[in-house]
Amino acid sequence: MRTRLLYATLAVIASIWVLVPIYLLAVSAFGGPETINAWPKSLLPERVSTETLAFFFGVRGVWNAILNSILVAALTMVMSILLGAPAGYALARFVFPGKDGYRLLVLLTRAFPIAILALPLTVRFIEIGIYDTPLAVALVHTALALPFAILVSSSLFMGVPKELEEAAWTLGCTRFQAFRKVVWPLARPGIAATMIFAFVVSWNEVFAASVLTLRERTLTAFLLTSLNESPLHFRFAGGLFLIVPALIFIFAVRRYLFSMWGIANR
Amino acid sequence: MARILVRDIKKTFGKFVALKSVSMEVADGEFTVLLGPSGCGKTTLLRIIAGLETADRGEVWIGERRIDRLPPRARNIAMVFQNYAVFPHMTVFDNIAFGLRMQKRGSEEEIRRTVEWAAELVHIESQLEKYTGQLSGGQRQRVAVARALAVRPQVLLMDEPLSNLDALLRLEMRAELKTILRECATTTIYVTHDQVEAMSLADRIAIMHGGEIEQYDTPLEIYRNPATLFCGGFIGSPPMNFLEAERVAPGRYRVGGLELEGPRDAGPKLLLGIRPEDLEPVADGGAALAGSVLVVEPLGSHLLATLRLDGRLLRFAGDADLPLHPGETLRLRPRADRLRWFDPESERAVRS
Ligand SMILES: Nc1ncnc2c1ncn2[C@@H]1O[C@H](COP(=O)(O)OP(=O)(O)OP(=O)(O)O)[C@@H](O)[C@H]1O
Ligand SMILES: [Mg+2]
Repeated sequence: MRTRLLYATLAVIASIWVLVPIYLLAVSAFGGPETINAWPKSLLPERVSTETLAFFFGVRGVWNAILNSILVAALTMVMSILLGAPAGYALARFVFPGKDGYRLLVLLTRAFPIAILALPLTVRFIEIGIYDTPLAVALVHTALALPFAILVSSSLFMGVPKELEEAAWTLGCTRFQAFRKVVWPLARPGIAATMIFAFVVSWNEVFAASVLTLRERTLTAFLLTSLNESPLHFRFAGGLFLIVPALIFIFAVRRYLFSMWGIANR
Repeated sequence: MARILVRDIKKTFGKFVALKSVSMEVADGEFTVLLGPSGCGKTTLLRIIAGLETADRGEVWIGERRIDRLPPRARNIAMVFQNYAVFPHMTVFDNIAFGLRMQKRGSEEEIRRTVEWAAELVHIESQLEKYTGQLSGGQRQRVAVARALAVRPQVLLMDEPLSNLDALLRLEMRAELKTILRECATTTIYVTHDQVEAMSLADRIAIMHGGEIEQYDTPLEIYRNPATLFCGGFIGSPPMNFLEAERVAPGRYRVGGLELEGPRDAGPKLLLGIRPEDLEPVADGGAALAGSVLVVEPLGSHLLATLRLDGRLLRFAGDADLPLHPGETLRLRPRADRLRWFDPESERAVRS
């Protein structure tokens, strides 16, 4: 009973820690321009207005940035799963020399700060002519999301008993058919969660996106560059719009995240 | 329906030799059991026949087809795995139909009929719409068997299919499997390390030990005439007794206080193998093996006694009504027609 009370308290504190800033952000974004500078802050907006949001979406370049962000995130999601799932499958099913080293190397890619890679990448992208395109940003974001995609999908595939696949082979499947009919359906929920994660990684990433684009900004890069010269309520609206998709996604896949972490969901 | 021919199969995992040189031939429609202790290579041999593992050398034939280079799907086999390996994301029906659909065996209507036939065979026709996660272990077991039978394989391979069931269900499934498989007359190799299961199911048993087949024979023949010390010790519960024998004259050996007729052209030292039930109590007088009774186990149908004889243990199985008590001396004589002789060096049987 005591411990339950403790858990409940901690959970409430953690929730407040996360939710209050989001709530204040929402209040500011929907409250109309004048609420932002009002003091003391009211916890309930005096009126609900879409003025701020309308203003936000009215700014030139916002829509283009949103579309770019979606495009980049979608590309990242697809590429990291197309590359990550087969690598994860290989890690889960095959024994090959240097397997442990490979596993480590995969993680090591995260050891290089993007800041160091940015300049050579920029030069190279200019050379091959994909600088300032969503593809260039998506490539870098894929590199960021890939280690996670590989390791998580490998553990997902490991969770599918090998005998199931072997049974499918003996019943007339090729390797690929067995994967499609047996392994894939069983790993799919987890794969979906991995894809969403890649999407969110890309959606939130700002540094590479700022360095690698000039006109074709993603939303984060766009907001970063226009933050200084824009009114406060614009920033609040932008902030809200940045976190909302991530929240929706995480809410949608919470079941899979829980099951990935071994927590029973109710 | 086809015979299986395995010729000179060798398999190593790194430095470890799992199969030394295994050869066997299973006749068309025959039920062969691979029996041996844990780690002797039973599963490995089965997986090589199924194509899930590649042998270092050797050949596998099914019927007149050499199959050891073919992928599992082209071998015309079906396998039942130790942990069932039924697909959890499919209904029982889809599980049983899986092989038929993958191999495009006829229309959906024909497939439905085959699935129903297989389901009836294993008595799960009422569960067809359920997902396999909702089934008990025994039911999953049945699904796995039905799924294997549905494709009408030339060869059926089963790897300890009953080992995950509780004792009672196991007994029940064992009897059922026997009837089902007789009905289908499919050439079958069945792996187990349970000797009772092996004895009750098999047409022939292959006793495996340390990556080799030590004896391949009918259950009774293995029981009566074990080819090696290992076979005699592995089959039978309690196992065969082995007593040291010393030659006193050509063809005559002394065992304990007894002189027995043995093989003529054998070495000066042999081991006498005798089953516990082939020992007979003798009335006082006459020569006999005299041992002091250590433990008496009345089992109802018969009685088991453990005796100490010259510092070694001897097991005796006799009539349930024998008045035996620990501490007493029991005098026994082996049945003359059941004496089996072994060379202690080669550990192989010596025929007399
Ligand atoms: N993939 C593998 N890698 C390395 N060693 C293996 C592999 N598969 C089997 N072995 C070894 O080969 C030996 C034979 O294994 P196998 O699974 O055939 O035994 P088994 O007779 O089926 O035993 P059990 O009754 O326990 O199932 C074992 O010692 C095992 O450790
Ligand atoms: Mg095994």
